[in-house]
Amino acid sequence: MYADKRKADRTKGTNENFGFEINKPFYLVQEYPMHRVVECIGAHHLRTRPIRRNAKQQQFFFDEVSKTIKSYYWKSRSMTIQSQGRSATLYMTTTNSRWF
Amino acid sequence: MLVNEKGKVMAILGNQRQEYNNAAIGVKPKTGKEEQLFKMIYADEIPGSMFAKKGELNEDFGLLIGIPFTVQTTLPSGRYLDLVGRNMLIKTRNGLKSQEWFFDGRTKTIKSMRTKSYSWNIQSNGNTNNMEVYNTYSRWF
Repeated sequence: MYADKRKADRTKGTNENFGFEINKPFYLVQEYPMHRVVECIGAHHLRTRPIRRNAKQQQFFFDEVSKTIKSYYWKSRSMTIQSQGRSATLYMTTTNSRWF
Repeated sequence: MLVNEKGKVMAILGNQRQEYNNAAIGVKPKTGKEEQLFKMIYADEIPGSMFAKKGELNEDFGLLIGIPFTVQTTLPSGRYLDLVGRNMLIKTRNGLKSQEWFFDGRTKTIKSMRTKSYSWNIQSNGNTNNMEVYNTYSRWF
């Protein structure tokens, strides 16, 4: 594709394949009564914690370019499955293009 | 429920009946159990009730946060729910804090005004019909 015909990456709107609003921060809320949310700790671990107002470590967004879920606090890091998809643990790491 | 392209579902790793703090997040095959139930809420749509403060109504539970209340039987005696040791009994009103309770907005449990580290609990992990108070934890029966 010629560079002048390439469309710019979308920065708004909905990605219907993945079901996310692009670049819009969201919380991942547990459906237990306390409604704890997923928090990225130390740019690596994902844990459930009580929600805190405006805590960006608890917010994530869908990145249209890499098609990954990124941390709103550490924007170079995406959600991935440990041990190249063989583990059960989810964590955050620098964005790469592997799909497990 | 959050599912990736390979059908793996985001889930809590560990005991599914307990609502852990600091629980690790992982992926599991889809079962639809509670441990896999996450909902995605955009930051500008998050309900204000999730940050509720003392005196505000928790609409899910129908209780005011942090405001003491009493529980009175509708039997003719009109006695009040009281705390004796860790057992819950009905006794005549005596004005003591052992007859007062409050809803804790953080843990979503009903606590005793006398011993604030205790919450209402169903004995034997929810397997009996006897209620007591116990150190607050995160299991839901």
